[in-house]
Formats: sequence, structure tokens, C-alpha cells
Amino acid sequence: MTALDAPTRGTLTSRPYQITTVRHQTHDIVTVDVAPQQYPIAFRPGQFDMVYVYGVGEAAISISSDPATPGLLSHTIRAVGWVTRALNDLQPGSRIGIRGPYGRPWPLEEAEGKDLVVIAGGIGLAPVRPAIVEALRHRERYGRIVLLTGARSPRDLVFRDDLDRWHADRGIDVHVTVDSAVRGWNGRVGVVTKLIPRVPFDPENAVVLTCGPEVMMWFSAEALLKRGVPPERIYVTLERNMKCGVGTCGHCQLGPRFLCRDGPVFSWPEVTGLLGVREL
Amino acid sequence: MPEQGQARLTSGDPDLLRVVLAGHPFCADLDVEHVAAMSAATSERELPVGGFVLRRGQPAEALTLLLDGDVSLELTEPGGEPIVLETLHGGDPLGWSWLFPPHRWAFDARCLTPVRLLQLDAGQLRALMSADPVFGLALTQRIGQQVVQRLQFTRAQLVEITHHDRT
Repeated sequence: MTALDAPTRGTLTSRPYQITTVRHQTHDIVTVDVAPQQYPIAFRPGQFDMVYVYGVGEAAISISSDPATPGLLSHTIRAVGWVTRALNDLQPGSRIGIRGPYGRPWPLEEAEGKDLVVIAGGIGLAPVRPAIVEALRHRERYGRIVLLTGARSPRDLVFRDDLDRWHADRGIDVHVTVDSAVRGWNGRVGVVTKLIPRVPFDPENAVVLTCGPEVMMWFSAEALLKRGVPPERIYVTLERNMKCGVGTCGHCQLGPRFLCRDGPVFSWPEVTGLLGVREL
Repeated sequence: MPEQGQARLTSGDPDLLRVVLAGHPFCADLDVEHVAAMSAATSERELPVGGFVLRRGQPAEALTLLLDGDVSLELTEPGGEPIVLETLHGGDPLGWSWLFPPHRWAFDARCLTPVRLLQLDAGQLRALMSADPVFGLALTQRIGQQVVQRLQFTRAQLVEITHHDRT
């Protein structure tokens, strides 16, 4: 039995996977693919894995690949800490440990029969990408599907191939904006929340998934509420310093909730009273 | 006023102009008589791609209401590449320097696409506002709302540009 065949011993034990592809999304964001034939990971959109760089440490990373393609498991990572920097430096052929999937997924079933609005800021497009892919696969189940996505600058836009493909797809209404640009960028400039009052969807019959910096999600939720979206139909995904992934260690505690176990996806009423509390 | 573009023929119809003005989001819920008074100061224009709706440092002589098309608010140093601060689109109002001294534009506004817009003469608007305090308050509140909203967007933009998300 080789190391790659070693059975996992529980939810806190990672399994080894070999990196097949490293795709550079931006100057500091990569998508790392593994081909988990040996240990396929069945996940639902919005869930995350704990990804282990041997000798460095673990980080919670959202799964960004298509849930219906078990032969390809992708994690999209921005280099901000020791582990994520190490992940950004890995090459095809390197081995990483993965355990998961963990966490509460996006409520795609609740969105069936309704408009589905996805709001993503920066790398926040990664955790919602599986939901978009899944919704487009079952396009007939939804009303309008709208994606509002933004980034700091044009060079910080991730999943450009997807955005181009979705732009051409009549099944989804895509709006892209950046915070800052110079001449040459002919798209929108401004915060993604500015798009909310003007894009066509039925606020009273919509489910909204938002992912990005908390400030962005906060402003988005306010704009959505103002437009008339019921608060319980607004979903956000939160992020803290997750360690165990199973609600045991308490590192990701936000008030009474463990984000890894109770989230990372929450409805707005579940967290609205927590996000503004400085002491948390 | 714009340095390019010509008045549309349809703007010669005052009734049609009043209807178009009343339908702009900036005028939502304004009293009918106030819209009628504003329409007397309004002209409709079209500008081509690359045309300037307004230019930094020039006298601010009109309130602009965008009907169709995309406009970028830009800041440019001599010889430098313009920095795009924000884009505005059909349904947006553009410019409030016409209301506050020294009545000069602070930025360039350049058309990214063909643009159709309404321009309301600033001198006439200010005179109307002085003559009718109720109208003056209504218009000042609308402009104030735009300023507050733009400030909030700008603050969010600043946070997003400087914020380093952790994923």
C-alpha cells in the first residue's frame, strides 16, 4: 500500500492528493486542481475543504469546481498567509492533504422556482462558482439567474473564461464591475452593490447568494433589503480562522456559532446581529 | 454645456420633453408643476463615443440626467492616462457642482458609448429654486441624496480597494 492509498482515519485526518494543474487566475490567486480518482470527494456548492501543505499547515479553502465532475476537485486560493502562500507556490505533481467537505452549502433547492441572484466580490466568486454551474445545469428550475461580480481592478477578476462564457450564455445575466480602472477598460467602474437597484430580477421572489469581503456583503444586504428582498432569502458566506472544520476547536467561533459547522453559509437574519459587533 | 453633440430634433417638442424628464428616476415623485418648471430649462442632447459631457475646471452650467449610454468620471494629469473613478449609466444624474460655488466641474465625464442625455440649465434651475423654496428644498434633497449615496459608494470602494480578503 502506497502513501496515496492510505485510508483516512476520521474526519480530522486528511488524505493525500497529487496536484494535476495549477491555473493562475491573477497575480496572487491560483486554482489548484487535483484528480481524486482514489478518494473522490462528493460535495455540495458552498462547502469547503481543509487543505494541508505538508510541513506548513492547513487552511480552509472553498471548493470551486463543478460538483458533478468528481474527477476534478479545484480549490481557488489567494496568497495571504503562510499556508496560502505555500499553496500558491506549489507545482503540478506536488502532493497536498485534503479533508472534507465541510459546512452548510448554498440553499439552491430553496431558489428553485425563484430568481437566483449571485453577488460576488473578488475571490468571492470561487465559493459561488459551483452554485452557478449547478444552477445552469438545471436551468429550467430557476427564474432569472443573475450574477453581479466585482473586483478591485480588471487584473483582479477571477474565472475570466467562465465570465466570458456566461456572458455569451442567455441563461445567465452577468454584470461585471471594478473598483478602479484606467482607460482601456470599457466596463463598469464602481462598487458591485451599486448594481443591485438596477438589475432586473423580482426582489419578492428571489434568493440571493453573496460572497466577498464582509463590508461588501453588508452593503449588498442593505441594498437588497431596500429593494425588497426578504431578509431570510439573503445568504452570505462567512470566513474566520477555521482549524478543525468540525465545530470542536472554537477558532472560528462568531458569537454562538461555529462558522465551520453552522456555516459557512448563513441567512442574513442568522448573522446580522453578529457582524456589527466589534468585540466578536 | 457639452463641447460636442447637437440638440436632438425631438427635444423641440416640449410635451415630449416633459414626459421624458418626468420619467427619469431623478424626478420620481416630484410634483407635476415642478417637473413642468424644470422642463422649461431642459434640452435633450446626444453625444458620440469619446465626447465629453463635462470637463474638469470648466464652468458647471447644467445638471445632466443620463437617459441612455455609459459615461466615465475621470481624473487625468497632463500627459497621463486617465484614472476612471466611476462609471455612470442611463438613469443616473451627473454633476452637482452647478449647485455649489465656485460652480466648476471637479472631474471629466467622457462617453464610453453613444450617450443620450437631458441637460437642465443651472442658472434657470437656481433661479427657480430661489423663487420657490418648496421646489428648492425638493431639488436640494435629491442632490443631497445623490451626494450621500455617492459618498457611501466611494467609502465602500475605498474599503474594497484597501481590504485584503483572507481566503
